[in-house]
Amino acid sequence: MTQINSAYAGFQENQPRADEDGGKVKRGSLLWARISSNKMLIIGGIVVIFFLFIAFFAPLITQYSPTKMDFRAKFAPPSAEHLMGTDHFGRDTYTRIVYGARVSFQVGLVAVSIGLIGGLIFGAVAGYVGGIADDILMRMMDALLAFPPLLLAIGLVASMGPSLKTVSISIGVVYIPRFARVMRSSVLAEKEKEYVEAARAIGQSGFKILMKHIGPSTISPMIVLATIIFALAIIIEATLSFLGVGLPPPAPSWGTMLDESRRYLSVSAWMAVFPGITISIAVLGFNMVGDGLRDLLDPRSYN
Amino acid sequence: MKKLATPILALAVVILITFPSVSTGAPKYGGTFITGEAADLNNVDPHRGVTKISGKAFSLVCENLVISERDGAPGPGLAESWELSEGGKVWTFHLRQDVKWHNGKDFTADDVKWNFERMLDPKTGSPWRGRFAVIESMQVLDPHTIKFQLKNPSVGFPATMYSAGSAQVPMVAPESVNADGTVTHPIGTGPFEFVEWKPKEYFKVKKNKNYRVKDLPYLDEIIVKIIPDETVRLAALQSGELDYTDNLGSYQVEKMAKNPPKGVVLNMETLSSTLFLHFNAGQPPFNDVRVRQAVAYGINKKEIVESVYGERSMPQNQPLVPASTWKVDVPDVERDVAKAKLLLKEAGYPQGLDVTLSTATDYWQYMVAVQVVQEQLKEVGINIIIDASDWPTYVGKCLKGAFVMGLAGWPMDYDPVFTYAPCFTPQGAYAFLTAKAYDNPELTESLQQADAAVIAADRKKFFADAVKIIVNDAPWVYLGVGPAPTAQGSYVKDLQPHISGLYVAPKSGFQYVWLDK
Repeated sequence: MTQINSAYAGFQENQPRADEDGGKVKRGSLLWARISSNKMLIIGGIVVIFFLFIAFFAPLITQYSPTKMDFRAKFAPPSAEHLMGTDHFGRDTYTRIVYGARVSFQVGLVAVSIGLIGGLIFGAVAGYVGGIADDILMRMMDALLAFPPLLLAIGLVASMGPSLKTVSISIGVVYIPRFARVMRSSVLAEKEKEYVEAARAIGQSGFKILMKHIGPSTISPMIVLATIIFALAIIIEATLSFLGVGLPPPAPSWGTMLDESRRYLSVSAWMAVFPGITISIAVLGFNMVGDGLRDLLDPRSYN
Repeated sequence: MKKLATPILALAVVILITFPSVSTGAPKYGGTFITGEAADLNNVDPHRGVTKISGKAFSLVCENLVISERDGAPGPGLAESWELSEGGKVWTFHLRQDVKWHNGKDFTADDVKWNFERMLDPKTGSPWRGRFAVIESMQVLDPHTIKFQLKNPSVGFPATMYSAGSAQVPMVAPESVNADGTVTHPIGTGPFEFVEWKPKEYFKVKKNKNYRVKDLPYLDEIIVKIIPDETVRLAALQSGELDYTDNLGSYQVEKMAKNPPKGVVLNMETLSSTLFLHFNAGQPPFNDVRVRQAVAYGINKKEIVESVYGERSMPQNQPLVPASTWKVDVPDVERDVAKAKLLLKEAGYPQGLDVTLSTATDYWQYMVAVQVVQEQLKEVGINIIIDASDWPTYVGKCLKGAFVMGLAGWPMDYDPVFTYAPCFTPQGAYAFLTAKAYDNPELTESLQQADAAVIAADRKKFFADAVKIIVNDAPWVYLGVGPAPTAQGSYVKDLQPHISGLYVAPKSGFQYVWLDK
């Protein structure tokens, strides 16, 4: 029992205790031990960091432009000049995959941010204030949840016209309810605890209570959800682009690349292989990080 | 007896050997023919068919006075012959005498008059109204002769009655129209009779046993299935679900043709519509001819059509079928990036500018073309933002003038009588594609003179003048065409493809098709 508590608490508290420097180190190495034994987290983490790296350093690791067409080099199979071959416009596939990582990360980050912040506000207010506010807000969330995420995203993008901005915002809005629910349940769980009652008794404002006391215990589930939603955001963006209602050309979206490859499958199957594999690996990576983090942060599944 | 046995046996063998090769050549009657089409019809009123598929489907059921031959040239249909008088202001059509409607009644000149009146009636909402606005009055001289009096001389008038590239201008029986003015069961004179239309699914017709051409058609039934995705259509053909389909992607078909799958016959003869760019000439930047010319100099037509259609693509500056005798020799604009930049600078855009290019997502050809245009114009300093929506939305934008620049396709014509005037004169039926703002009196006059020129050489000269102005003013920029390949099962016999993919032509088409299985 004590072991579990200290391990969990070790991750929760970000301030080291003033008296025990050694204690901090001990807690830190315990944490590291937990991380390193969590294979999912490690592998997923490597994949995510890898994609983050190539997205960030895209111009440095590619020699072509992702949009420049070269009609003499159409449908080329992988070669020394074009590591992953070219597409129907002669654009270098490897370059577009790398810049596609940028696109995916941009969409993912904006979508998750919107989902997180929106969900945080709705969930916190609903959970803490309760009563009518809770009812109203949660029914709104239910209404959004009733839609299949993909269809809702398509509808939102269609109404705003497709662009990087609208796609990211739409996906973010689609996932606000999920964040809201997690936030709300965390807030509800903490609300009745003694330390919160004590803070209320000494007159701290609701807002401060949320920020300083309840807040920290809601972070971990939200983080786990964020990584899962990041993966979902990538898939939805790819699906939207595949269906033709995502990022407009010439954006190097993995989904668009997959869609374009369909027509030319018999001419050059390579066009489909690379975006397909990339999407699979990226999504797998994020899901693994999500699973790994959940294992790490969930005190009930300590092993 | 024994002595006769051997020669008789030999004779029998000879007969058995030769007889089959004679009999399998003869067309077999019967069978259901299933074709795959990319787009759906809007309705089953032949007078309100707007799109190419409408034209193709209705051509099975209805005929018109003048019909498109296989290469797009005009040929006799329900009219055997026609002649002009008064310099083209009066046209007299002599109708066939052996034609019956599907409901058994005789086809007469009164029916023809009724058809044109219905098409000209604003309440019908027919897209052909613009074409026939030139008709002042019609007179039935006898049951098989009708006289058209035109408002101004038009040498090309018979050519307005058909289209080389898209929808026909069909004759239907007056009994086709319901009490409320709609048509739900068109009655025509064609080789097939209408059975039913299930929107978004299929269009079905059955054999007309009393077709005016004896012994035709062979097929019992034709089902036109609506399958928008061309990769799906090709797969359906290979699996045997379809007997015929068209409008396939040139790249796959070219690749396939090197190693044709068993039982499938591919054909690259059929051509697509002509891709073209059009501009809103009523507001900046394209109200300035220099900016339009900058686009014309900034693009590389050959690259664009090649990206869409492959090696057999053909850049064009006139949307006419290859067989057309009215093609004129006007040099096209060659790509010149420096000149384009200079023109932009003169027009007041030294830093370049942003331009929204609208098009329809339904046609992959358009989507591919706009991307190439976007890439090419980057070099000139024009930053193209692609605004792609579905076809009805795109057309809606054009009709409202809510566009800056657009890309679409124009079905090729044989005779330019209805090619330039409706697009480049302010009252033309298609002037909305320049937001009704393009008006060049010189061009209008050349076209009018072409209309009135009875001597072919003169007519050609006026068209040449017109095309020169169009190329220079660039209210549109025609890009070009390429193959819209067709594929059929090898058991499908005697199907000679039409240059624009139409289903029926006088000496070729589905009425001649038979299935060898």
